[in-house]
Amino acid sequence: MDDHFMLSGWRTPPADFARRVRDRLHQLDREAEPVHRFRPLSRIAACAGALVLVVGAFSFPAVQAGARAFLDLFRIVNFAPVAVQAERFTALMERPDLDLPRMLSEQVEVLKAPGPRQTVADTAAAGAAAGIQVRTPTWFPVGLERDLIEVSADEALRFTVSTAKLKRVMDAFGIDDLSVPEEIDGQSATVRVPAVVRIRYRGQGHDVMLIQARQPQVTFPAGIDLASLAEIGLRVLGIKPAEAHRFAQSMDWRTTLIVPVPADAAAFKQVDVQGNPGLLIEAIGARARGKLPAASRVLWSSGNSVFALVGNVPPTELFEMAQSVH
Amino acid sequence: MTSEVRETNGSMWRAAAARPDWDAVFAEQLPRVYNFLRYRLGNEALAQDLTSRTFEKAWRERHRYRRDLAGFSTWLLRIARNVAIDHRRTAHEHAPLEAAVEVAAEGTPEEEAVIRSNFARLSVLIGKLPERDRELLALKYGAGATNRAIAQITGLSESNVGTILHRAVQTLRAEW
Repeated sequence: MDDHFMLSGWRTPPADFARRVRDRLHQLDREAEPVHRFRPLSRIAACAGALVLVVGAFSFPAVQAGARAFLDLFRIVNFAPVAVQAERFTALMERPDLDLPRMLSEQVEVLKAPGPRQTVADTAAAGAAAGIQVRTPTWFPVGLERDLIEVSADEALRFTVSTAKLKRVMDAFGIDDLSVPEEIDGQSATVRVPAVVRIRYRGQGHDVMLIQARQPQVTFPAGIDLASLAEIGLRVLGIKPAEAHRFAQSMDWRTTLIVPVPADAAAFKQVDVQGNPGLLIEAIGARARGKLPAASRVLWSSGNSVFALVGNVPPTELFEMAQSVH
Repeated sequence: MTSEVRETNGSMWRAAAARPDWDAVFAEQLPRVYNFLRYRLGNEALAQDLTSRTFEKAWRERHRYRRDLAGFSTWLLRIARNVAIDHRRTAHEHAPLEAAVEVAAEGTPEEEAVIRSNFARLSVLIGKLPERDRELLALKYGAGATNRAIAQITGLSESNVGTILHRAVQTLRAEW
C-alpha cells in the first residue's frame, strides 16, 4: 500500500451532483440580489432624477471630494459607468447660461435643507443621528486609522420640469435629432436624500472616506418615458447617437445610475461587493505621473443602503476595505 | 456600453478583483472538498450533502475570506472540516461505510468494480483509525493538501502531520 493506492479512491464528483451544487449557488446569487420597489404614484422616476444627477456628476474628476459624488449615488442601485471627456464637461458646467446642474428645471424648491455637518464621537452616535446602523470596515491598509465621523441631516428638494430649459441645453449640445417628451413639462419631482454618515480614515499620507446612507427617494409622476430622457442625458454626456439609443433602451432606468468616468483620468471595473453590484474606479492620472495614488472609489449598494469608499490608497486595498465593511 | 468605456491596466483590475471567481473556484475546488469528505466520512451520499453545505456556507461567508491570512483552498477546507465536525457532533447515527461505493461509474464496469471494492475496503480500514488520523488522511489524499496546508488547517505542526500520516499509512498497509 503506497500513496498511489491511497489516491486510487479519489474520483471526479458525479456530473449531476456538481450541477446541483452549482445551481444552488446560482440560486443563492439570485436570492442575494436586492429587490427594488417603487412607490405606485411615482414609478419613482429615477431616470429624470438620474439625468439631473448625471449632469451633477459631470464634475466627477477622479480626485473630487466624495461628498458631492455620493449625492449622485443616492438614487441608484445598479451602476453603469460611461467614459466621458472630463474637460469638455467641466467647461460646460461652468457656463452660467446652461446651468447644467438644473438641466431639467428652472424651479427648484428646497423642502428641507440638510444644514451643516455635525461631528460625532463614535459610530453609535452617528447611527443614532442618521437613523441607520452604521457599518465600518474590518480591514484597513497599514497605518490607516479613524480620524473623524460626521453626519449630515436629510434633505429634500422639489423641482418642476421645464421642457424649454431642457431644449436649450440640447440646443447647446447640438442635439437636434431627439425630441423632448412634452408630457413632462410642468411635472414636479421630489428628491429626498436621507441623512449621510461620513467616516474619515487617515494615516501615512493616505486619506479614505466611507460614506453611507439609506437609499434616496426620487418621486416622479407615473408614465414618464424614462428611456427617452435617459437617451438625452447620454447624448449630453457625449455618447454617440446609436450607442446612446441602444443603451437607453436596454437599461432599467428606475434602478440604474450612470456614473460618468473621466476617460483620460480613470479606469473602472464593475465589481461584486459582498454579493452586491458595485463599481470600482481607479484614478490613474496622478499615478501615471509617479505621484501618490489619486483618489479611487468603490461604489456599491446593499439592500436599502448605498455606500461609497473614496480614498488615495491603492485600488486593491480600497476594494479590500469595501469587502470588509460590516 | 463597452465601446464607450475604457478598461485600462488589466492586470491591476485582475488584482483588484482578486477575490474568488466563483465559477473558477467551483470547478477547481469542488473535487477537493468532495473527496476530502468522502475520505473523511466514507459515505458517498453524506459526502455530497456536506460538500453542498460547505460551498453554500463558503458562498455566504465569502466576504470573510482574507487572502492575507490563508490560501483560498485552505480557507475552504477549513469550512469543510468544520462542516464535517458539526455533522459528527449532531448525527445520531452514521450511514454504513459501504455506502462509499455508491459512486457514479466512469471507467469500464470492471474498473469501477475494482475501484469500488478497493475504496470500500479502504474506507472500512480508515474508519478504524483514530479520529485525528482519519482527518489527516482525508486532507492528504482526499483534498490533496500539502502537509503545510494540513498543519495550517488542523493547528498541528508540519512535522507532526508528516509523522501521523506516515504511521497511519503504515497501519493501513499492515491491515490491508
